[in-house]
Amino acid sequence: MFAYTVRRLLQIIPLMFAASIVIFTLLALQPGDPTDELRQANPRITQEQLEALRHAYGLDQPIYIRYFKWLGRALQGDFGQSRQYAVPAAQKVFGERLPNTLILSGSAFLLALCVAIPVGIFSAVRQYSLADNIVTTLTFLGFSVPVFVLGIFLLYTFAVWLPDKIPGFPAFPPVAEVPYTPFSEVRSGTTSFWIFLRNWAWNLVLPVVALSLIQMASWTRFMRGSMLEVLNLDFVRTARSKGLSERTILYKHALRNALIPIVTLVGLSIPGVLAGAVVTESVFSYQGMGRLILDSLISKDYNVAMAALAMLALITAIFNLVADLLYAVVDPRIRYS
Amino acid sequence: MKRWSKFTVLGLSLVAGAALAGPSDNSLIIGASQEPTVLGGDFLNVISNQVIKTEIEQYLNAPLTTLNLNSEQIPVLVTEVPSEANKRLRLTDIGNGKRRLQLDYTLKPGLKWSDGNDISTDDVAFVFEVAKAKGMALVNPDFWSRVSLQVKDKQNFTVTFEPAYYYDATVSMAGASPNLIAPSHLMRPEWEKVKAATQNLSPDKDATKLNELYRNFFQQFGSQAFINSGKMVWSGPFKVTRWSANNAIEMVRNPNFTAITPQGGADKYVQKVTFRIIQNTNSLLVAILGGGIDATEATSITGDQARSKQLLSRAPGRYDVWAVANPTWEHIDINKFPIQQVKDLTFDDKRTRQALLYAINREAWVKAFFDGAEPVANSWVANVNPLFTDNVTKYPYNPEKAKQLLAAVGWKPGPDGVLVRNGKRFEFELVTTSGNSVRERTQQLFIEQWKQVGISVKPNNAPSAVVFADNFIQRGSEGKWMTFMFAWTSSLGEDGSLFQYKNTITGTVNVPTKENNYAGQNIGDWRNDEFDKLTSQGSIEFDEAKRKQLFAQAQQIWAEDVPALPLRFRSNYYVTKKDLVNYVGSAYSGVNGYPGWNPWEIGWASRGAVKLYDQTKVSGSTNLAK
Amino acid sequence: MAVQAPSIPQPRSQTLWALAWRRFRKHKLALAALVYVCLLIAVALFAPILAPYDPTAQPLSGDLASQYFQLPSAQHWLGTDELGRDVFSRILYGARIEMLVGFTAALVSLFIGMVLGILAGYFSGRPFRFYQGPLAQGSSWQPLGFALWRVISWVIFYGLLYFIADLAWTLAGDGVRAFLGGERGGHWFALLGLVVSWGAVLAAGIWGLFAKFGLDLDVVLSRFIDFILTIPSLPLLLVLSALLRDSQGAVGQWAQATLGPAASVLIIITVLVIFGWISTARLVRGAVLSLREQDFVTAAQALGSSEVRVMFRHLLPNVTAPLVINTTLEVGNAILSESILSYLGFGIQEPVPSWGNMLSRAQDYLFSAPHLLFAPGIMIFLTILAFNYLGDGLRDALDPRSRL
Repeated sequence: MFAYTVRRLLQIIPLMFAASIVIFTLLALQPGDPTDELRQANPRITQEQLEALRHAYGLDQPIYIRYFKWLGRALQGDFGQSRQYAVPAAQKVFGERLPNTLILSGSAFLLALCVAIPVGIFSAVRQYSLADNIVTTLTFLGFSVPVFVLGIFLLYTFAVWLPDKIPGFPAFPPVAEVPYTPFSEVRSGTTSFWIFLRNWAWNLVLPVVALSLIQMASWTRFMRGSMLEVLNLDFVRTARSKGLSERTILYKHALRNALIPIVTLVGLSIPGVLAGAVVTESVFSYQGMGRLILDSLISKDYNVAMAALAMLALITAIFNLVADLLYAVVDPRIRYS
Repeated sequence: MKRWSKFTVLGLSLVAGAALAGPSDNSLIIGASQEPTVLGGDFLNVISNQVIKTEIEQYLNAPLTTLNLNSEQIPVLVTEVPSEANKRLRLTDIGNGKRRLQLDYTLKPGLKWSDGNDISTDDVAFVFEVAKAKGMALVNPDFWSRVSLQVKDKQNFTVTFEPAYYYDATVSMAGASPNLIAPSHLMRPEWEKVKAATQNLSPDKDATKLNELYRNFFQQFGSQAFINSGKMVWSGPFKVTRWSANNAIEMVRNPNFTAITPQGGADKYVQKVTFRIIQNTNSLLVAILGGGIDATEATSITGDQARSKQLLSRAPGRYDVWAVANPTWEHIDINKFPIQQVKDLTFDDKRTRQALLYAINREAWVKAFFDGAEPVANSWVANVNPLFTDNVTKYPYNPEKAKQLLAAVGWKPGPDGVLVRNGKRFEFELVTTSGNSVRERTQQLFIEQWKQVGISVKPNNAPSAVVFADNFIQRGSEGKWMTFMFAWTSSLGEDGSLFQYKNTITGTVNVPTKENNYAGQNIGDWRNDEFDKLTSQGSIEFDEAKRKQLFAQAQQIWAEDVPALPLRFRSNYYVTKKDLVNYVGSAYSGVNGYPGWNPWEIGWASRGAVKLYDQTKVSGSTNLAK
Repeated sequence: MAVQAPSIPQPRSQTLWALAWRRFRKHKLALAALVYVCLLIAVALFAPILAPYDPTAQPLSGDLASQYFQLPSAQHWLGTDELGRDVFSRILYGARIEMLVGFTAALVSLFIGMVLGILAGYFSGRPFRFYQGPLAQGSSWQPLGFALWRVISWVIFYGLLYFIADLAWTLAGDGVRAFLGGERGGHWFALLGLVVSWGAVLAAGIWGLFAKFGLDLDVVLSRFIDFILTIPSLPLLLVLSALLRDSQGAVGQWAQATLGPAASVLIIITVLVIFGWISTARLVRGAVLSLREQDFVTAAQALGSSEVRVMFRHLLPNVTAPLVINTTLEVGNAILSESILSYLGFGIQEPVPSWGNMLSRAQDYLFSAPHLLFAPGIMIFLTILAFNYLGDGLRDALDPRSRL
């Protein structure tokens, strides 16, 4: 198991290497470079000045040289300067946006879990009841709502429609009435943790609901299926015949076994949640990594795009590994070697 | 159920709390859709030249002089505006029709930075020294190449322009002056270090290194962290107390600002200003509706949002929604370079360009898209500019006339309705910036209208970073684009360089070709000797009547030849709460046309602020909330 | 999710499909979904006849403002958009784009994934030299003749491939153009062209690689899939389509020049295929890996069937059921990805209507004209739902054991 983990961890290195080459090449092929912005801001800038800047940014070198230079610096934590924000790209991506994205997807993840597992169990225990049918239908519907469609409709409902219909309805849950406070302010003591938390919560309500729905639906469905399967197994029947209470059977015997497949599924859906976050952030203008990637692609801020994409790739690779390992941990039948 | 009701209560209380702010504690919350990257320390705009930075710095950095609501220059940090009457303005002929302009200024007595240090001519000299340092990548090199400074004593100094343009004494000075003064007592020690480090660097070979050192210097004094440390000092009526990223910039009244005392004393006016940054303009709109925003800055909401039912229906009694004319000129430039594609499309024939203009219904367009608030343009000079003349050839919607003109050029309808001439179809691409919904929507409308007269136009849109790139917009000579819809912002100091081939005074060529390294703003290659002469002379003509005459002639020539299709002049839109006074703007107020050019006198009437200006009386300004 | 079902070799008979159909009919919602999908296909095919207006026609005269943002009425069933265009007609034509993109991307992915999956699964653990020329089995040592033959055969082989690929690619462009222009039959050309061109390019790559290095395809493919799965797909889709769509860059110009006016549609299909074939390839590979050990395969081999025959006549039919299910779901996925890309501004471009770009435009007018949200939003939702139900129903019918 340990050897397997180490091997898989080591495998991430060439994977990241290859991924970074592909991403870097794709970005380097994109037309337009950061000096174009200067031309826009100042039409009188001279050609010499632009050339000097291109040279300054190292844009006059071939792609592979630029890649290795980038790699060398990136390994030391230097991802270059963001043209758009005039801060180091690493600070923008890791310091500012990554925590935002992790909070968004983490909250969505937790919400989905907290709903999916109890509802899935409930629905399995009352198989074919009215409630079960409703749950099954809802999960299928939820499974099929694209996150951006749901997001826009939530925005419309809570930002436009309800405030219009109900006088005094707080129009702000959608995003911004209470701008969220960066955590650095809690650290520096300018904002209390409680206010920080409250602001975050308000900003997060709709994006989290939008983002969690798909996972919520698929996990509920899966939980129900898994629970049903376990309940039909022999050992449950044995337990029943021994006269154990239904409660004990459910929670002590069945649940533990039914959770095994869920763990893998949950681990495997982390990349999906992150991808969903990219879209969700765009719909709600949430200041996370996905939004940052879009913005930096549009404004040709490739240092930022590169850092963010590499980060996403790393997270994806790590969680793929985590899912595999978790699977082995929860299911004693699986042994990696 | 219980949980939800708790949420609702919390929400309501927050909204109520926000709504009570404003007059109650004499504060002002301004909604903004962008965030500056740096503030204050970047006084030459080397790091950032953003609109929002300029707007916020209006509150923090006091200018020497500024332009008021009626585009008249008023003194702020100096005692009076130089003029021939007060003998502070001198013009000398230096041959070749060029002149030297000298302006004498005296700082008001007793001026202090927010930390209590004196403001003196040292602070002006410091800016000139930094700007003139070798290899400095300046945003306005033309200004800095002509200007120089002579310091007399701690209070008096002279600024010299050579050669001088007619607008140097007014627009150039008022425009540059918020940044002509910087805290030398704070920044000079660090600057000396930079100077030492750059001593042996050459601006040609070490441009990179120089650039990096300079940027770091400005960054150091302009960064969020430095400003939050409280060490930055300000000359304006406000000073920053807190800047939290993605959130807000808070500032309070600077007691050391004594240059101008508003009527009734500063305590009757706004004491605290917060720029609340909400990047999604839809969310910003929601915040305005919720009552948490007292006013918005010049560019944070779009015209569509300003005219939306949600905003206007709730406005009466609560806030005003202003559309204020702005000298930003939306147009479609046409490639006129002597290349084959241009000849095939007959873009070099003025009848073709006239036909293109006759074929689009700009009157119906501004009515439908902008409720008529933004006027149709007939030439490149904004109708709010003093040099504007209405006496030019106009091209009202007339598709029949367009067809006749095209027939005269030799275009004949082809089998599929598209015009054909010499076997070539009348087909081209219209480039514009993607992501700008107004432009993209306009593009679709015009394409359909051109189709009606047999011209096939295809959209070709890319992000502004791409289309404004040097290797695109400046390469009409290589046929990179045939037609291009975008905007130029002009200032009060119009000089006609947008359409000059060659400035007859300075000899500068404004058409970007390989020969001049693709520099210049006449990107479509229009050449008209008469126009060049008129506008070149106009720029150095200090007699207003004569200048107007020269520019009127230039506009007539321009409109007859239509080198580009003039579309409209834009407006800025902003919301102000009732009771808020003196938060006003006009096309050229504070040079750039933003509200907040007079931050010392913005206040709430209910707190005793005296209303000095009426936005409704500003020409080109309308209150949409009626 | 991968179906590992080691199915018993079943005789190909009518009864299997009849049985499946009987099971499928019981799933009422899947049946409804099937009807919906059929309707949608019909709408896509007959949009020019069904649509009451030209989807790009704008009002040009009279009071324009009153013709913009109209609410639904008898004339305009779903109202008009920001340029006075009929939303109902745009939805119908939008269906055309969605169906074209969805089915083409899914079928091309199916083709590629199936071929790669079957090759990888079948030859797993057997590094092979695919192409060695006639002298390979010979014992005589004829270096010159051998080299010459190799050069000639490579030139012929690649020349032919290039010719086919180029032809097919052009055909695809013409097909899509014709389809968008409302001509009949265009979609078949588009589909055929894409399948052939993609197939040819891939075949060339694989043959070249393996003839040269004699690699184990399975190892390469598995590594490659691992690698692709590491890259976050959505951002990469954005980067790719930004690259291909950008008319200023070399790559973008090449794409525009090759694809012509239909570029935005073909680019999106291409980008979707790049990620789309993976699930199919994994599925087929997994199934073939377990099937190839079974007796009927060994028997076929013993009877002297060629490898190609074994792969495509004996193994392939056994993975038909999971493939049908997978492809159905892939159509839904492709439509979803297309609408996300178009929504983010990296997909189908105005004035060509797609549900994604309609929704994106509608969000600009969230406050002034919220009614524009509903039609595209609901259509995207219903379509994704229908393909999910259809896939679910098919799974019940074709592969009852793998049900979750």
